[in-house]
Amino acid sequence: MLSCPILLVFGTFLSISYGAAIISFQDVGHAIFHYDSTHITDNIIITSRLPRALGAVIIGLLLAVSGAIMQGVTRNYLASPSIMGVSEGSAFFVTLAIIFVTASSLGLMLFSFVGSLAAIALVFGIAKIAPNGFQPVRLAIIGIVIGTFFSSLAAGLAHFFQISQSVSFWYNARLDKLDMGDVYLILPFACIGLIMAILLSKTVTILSLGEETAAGLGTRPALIRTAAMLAVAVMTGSAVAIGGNVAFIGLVIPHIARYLVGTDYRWIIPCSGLLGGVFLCFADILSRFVNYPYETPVTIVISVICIPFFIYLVYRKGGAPGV
Amino acid sequence: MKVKSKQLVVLLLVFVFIIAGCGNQSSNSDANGQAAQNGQKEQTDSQAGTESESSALKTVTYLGKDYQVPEKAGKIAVLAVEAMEEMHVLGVKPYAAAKDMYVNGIPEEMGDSLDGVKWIDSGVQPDKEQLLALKPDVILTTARLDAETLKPLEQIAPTIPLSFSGADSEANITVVAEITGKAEEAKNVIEGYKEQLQKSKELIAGSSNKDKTVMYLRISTQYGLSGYSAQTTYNAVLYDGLGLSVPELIGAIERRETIPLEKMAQANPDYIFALVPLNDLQAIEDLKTKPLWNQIQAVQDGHVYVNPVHPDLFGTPILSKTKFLEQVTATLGNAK
Repeated sequence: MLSCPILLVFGTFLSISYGAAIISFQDVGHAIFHYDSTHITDNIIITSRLPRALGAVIIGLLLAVSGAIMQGVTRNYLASPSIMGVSEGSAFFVTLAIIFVTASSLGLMLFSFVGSLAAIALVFGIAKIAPNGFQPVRLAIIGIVIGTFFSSLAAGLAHFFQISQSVSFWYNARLDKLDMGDVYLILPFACIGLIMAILLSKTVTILSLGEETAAGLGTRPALIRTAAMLAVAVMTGSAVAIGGNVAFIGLVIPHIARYLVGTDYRWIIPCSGLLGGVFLCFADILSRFVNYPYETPVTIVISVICIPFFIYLVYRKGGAPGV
Repeated sequence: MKVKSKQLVVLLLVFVFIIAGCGNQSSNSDANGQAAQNGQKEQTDSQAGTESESSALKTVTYLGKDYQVPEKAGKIAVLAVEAMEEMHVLGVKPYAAAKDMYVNGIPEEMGDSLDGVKWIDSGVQPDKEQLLALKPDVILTTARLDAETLKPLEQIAPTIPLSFSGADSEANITVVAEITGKAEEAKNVIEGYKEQLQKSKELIAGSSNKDKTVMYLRISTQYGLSGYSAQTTYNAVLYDGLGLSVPELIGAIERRETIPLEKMAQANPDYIFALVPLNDLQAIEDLKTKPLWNQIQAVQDGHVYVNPVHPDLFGTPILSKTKFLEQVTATLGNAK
């Protein structure tokens, strides 16, 4: 776990040093310490690779923390933004915004939050009224159904309004298109979401022991759950708004963090964040070399690594609740 | 239990609300020009050749394969844009055509060639029942479809998948001409293009642009910068045709690749001919905000030409090539 910050710095360095264009370490150093906007290599490093590396770290961090919180408050090892339909809700509301309201980045980001929140509310609402709705596999199914529902609506609207290309753009991960403007845009929201997550971490630990135990210990489960979902909406919404739909990180990373640091969410949440940042940063570097020098979608790399883990989770843990 | 029922009702109402909201909005929309243009369901059968005139067959050979087609094929169903261009340039109206073949509405370059045709739903992979009901004599489609997708079409009528390789332009127009009895017209079109190409080549060779790095790209929000192999569509005009040197970045592409912006900046072309979907022109505006894009020589010199030809022209047919050639010649040929 201690190696995580080192890996993060190392990953960021690799991410800005290696890419489609071959650039020497000397030129990387020149770009960092003596940036000259007229040099193409300096611009590649500073305006393309640096925001991409920072963006990947931030997005990975936010999605992993979102997944950890969701797993804690629902006591569901399959809970994560992509499986609970949160990312799809976000993308659907962004589609609505593109068609009817706004195309400004901030406006789209706000719609993205509302979409995340709507999806969470809908999934949890259905889970609450369905018999054993919070049972892990059932909740995952409800999440996938709602996610599919939102993506179908978005696809239908996009087709009618002839903006399929713009909408697909929102659905697909697009780390390669990040620029510093995106990084600046996400920073305040990321900070708010992370502060909320850290403040909630103690009570999430209590909630993860079970609702009755939590109530017995004097916490208010409904309030914590609402605050936690708000934090998830802010983090997932902003991550999807700048990076598109990056699946599986929110599912897999919290399990690895739990394996490394135990069951206390005061540790799981920050560790998930660090691991999520490291994971997406390295996955993004790998995606540049699968079909070098051309890009391969980062989701392919993530899926190849994470899907076996997902199957393993279902196989080992079945339908039993608890994380 | 009652509380749960109420919650269920509320949730169902939320669903209905969302769906109804979307439905109203979409029905109010104009559904764009394409739908309006393609929605001409009332057709007349008065156009020439709507009835198959003869059951006698002839063999046409296309790219090494023999096809048995009616001696006089009157009812030709066109399912792909490349075939449509060949039909138009030969002055033959198709009997039926795939709806939504053109994403942004029918290009004006197609004139009235699609007026009064019978439309078949579902684009390049058509509704088989509609196609069967129309009993076409020949189906013209694209080699972009794989063998499995072509099979059911072949069971309906002789199906010719036209190649998308820029090197097969002559073969494409020739086979369509053989089927439609327009061999002489095809010959003239090919000769005309070759003459124009030769003139353009000489003009550019004598200009200061002869050694410039020139690229053809398709740009979209979804796929970013798409580059194609040196032989594909318009690249065949630039490199094989006009003799411009193939940039290393393009030479390495086997068919199509998404080119990272940093790689494009490093390749630093002098001229870019970019095709951008008409409903996605924002893609080029977004690029203009990227410092790396703005550092490319072509961008700095104002040598990025967006949609020099209609983006829905395919690029392999001689019609597209001729239009593209005219634009490239006008751009590159006059610098001294």
